[in-house]
Amino acid sequence: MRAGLRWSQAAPDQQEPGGPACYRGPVAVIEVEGLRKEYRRLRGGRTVAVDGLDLSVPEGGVYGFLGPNGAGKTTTIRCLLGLVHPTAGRATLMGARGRAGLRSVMTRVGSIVEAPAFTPRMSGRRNLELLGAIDGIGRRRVRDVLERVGLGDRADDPVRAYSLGMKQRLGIAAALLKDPAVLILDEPANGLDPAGIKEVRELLRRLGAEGRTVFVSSHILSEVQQMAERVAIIARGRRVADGRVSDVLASRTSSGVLVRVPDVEQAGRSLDRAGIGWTREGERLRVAIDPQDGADVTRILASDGVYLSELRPVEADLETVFLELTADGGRL
Amino acid sequence: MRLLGVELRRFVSRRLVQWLLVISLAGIALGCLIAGINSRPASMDAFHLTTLSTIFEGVSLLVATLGWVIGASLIGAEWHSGTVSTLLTWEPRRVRVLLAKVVAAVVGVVVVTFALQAVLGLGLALVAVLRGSTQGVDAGWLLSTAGTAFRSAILAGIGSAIALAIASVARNTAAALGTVFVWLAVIEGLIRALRPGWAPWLIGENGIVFLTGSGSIDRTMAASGLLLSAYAAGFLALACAIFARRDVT
Repeated sequence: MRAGLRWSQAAPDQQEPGGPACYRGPVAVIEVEGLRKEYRRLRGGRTVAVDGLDLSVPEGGVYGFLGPNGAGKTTTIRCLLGLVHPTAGRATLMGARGRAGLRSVMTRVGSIVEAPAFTPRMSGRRNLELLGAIDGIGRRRVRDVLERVGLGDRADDPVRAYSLGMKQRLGIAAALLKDPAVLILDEPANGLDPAGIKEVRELLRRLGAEGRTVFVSSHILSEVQQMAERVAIIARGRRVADGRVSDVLASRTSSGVLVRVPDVEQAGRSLDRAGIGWTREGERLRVAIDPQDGADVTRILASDGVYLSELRPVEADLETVFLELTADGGRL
Repeated sequence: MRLLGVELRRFVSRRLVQWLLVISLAGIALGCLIAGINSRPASMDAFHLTTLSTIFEGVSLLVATLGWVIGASLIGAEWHSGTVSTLLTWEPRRVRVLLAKVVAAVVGVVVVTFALQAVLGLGLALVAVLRGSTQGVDAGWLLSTAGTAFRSAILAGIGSAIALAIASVARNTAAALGTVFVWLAVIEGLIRALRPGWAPWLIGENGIVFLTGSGSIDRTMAASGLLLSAYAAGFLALACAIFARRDVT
């Protein structure tokens, strides 16, 4: 439905003479430049939540926004949505800056910020109907999105009776209500059970495949790795890596091979004699050698009568890379 | 207009409004019952419908309190539940959001409080017809009494706007109600005692003049109404300025 979608609505100051601006070439739906946000502490001093962040999210697909707790993910999202004022720099969403500009694009942006908040005594349906009415969205659409997120049966219960996972689903339903071109989701899988997490992953992947831009912050790295084409990793308010998932993984993959042997101690002594570094990982050895030179390890160990049963290159996953990059708050 | 429509629907959907309505109606029914029981037809103790205007003046404090509570809770509850943040992701123009809430609160409070007084008036009219006296009731009386009820409702509406503005700044319903109570019961009392010359500028004095047409200060009903409206506008301007600049976290 949204495949090949191109947005043409932009802030008035960015429109070309003679008509609405159409962005050509690689479209950055979200652009963050030198974004800095400081919060004043109650007892004096300032906390820097975001510190000169740069980010460019292209149109279409799922973009993972990763970082440890307190890295500045939610603050960045709040800046994008106009909920907080940047101390410096700028955050642009679909070309719009400022609240007046935001209004012109907000009809095409669905979002969840932290835990989705709804009027607790009203039903989920009533909450969505009132939100949808702001943009003239009717009851049929409300019913459809409630069904889509699996809340059809509980839509008329008060939100205060919902579990955390159900509130999260309602938040996703609210984000989908506008049939958005851009989805900005802050930890959308929070509180969901494994089946719910899988459903959300598949839903987001599908939305990305439809041509929508799905900007999703998450701490469930395996989930992000399975659904995102591109990621940005931030730590202490700064970007420490970004790009295609495969590129980010490749850039930080530790060289080496994993070797399984019957006698780890003896294998270690053999490698020591050959001057090759190694570390023990359970019943295996992580050997610091280029995977292409794996045959050398085989030969060295075999010459000492140690016969390996497994040898494979170390494959970094997003979690490994994330932990490496965000160690010590991202001071690399 | 859509936003105003949504806020009016939200106003009607609020459980607090519904409960206050039910409690008020129950209170009105009880009051009419007591008036009916105490009234002795064709005697000195007969209930006279012409006292209705005085009754409206008497309940005006309750009516105003109703307006304050509803106005303060309309946004205080939203700050408490975090729905302000959700709402701003749909309509980022904050001043519009706040003004829509204020208009919804004022319109809702004026309509509800006037309707409640009308119900009270009808109930007491029934008591007067069945067990009391309607002597002296004419078109002029009806207009004057309706005017008192309407001004009482307007006073509640102005109170709701001020309470909403304070609750928006404080991000809390209780803080707004506490501030209004402390101001009216303590600060204005101290001002009356220590600076009697400032009385013409107090909310209490002007509220009485606006409602009854007379009081301890030399000011017309219209002037008092305008002054109270100006106070409300001042509070709202401050609330809008703060809301527009505030980080919603």
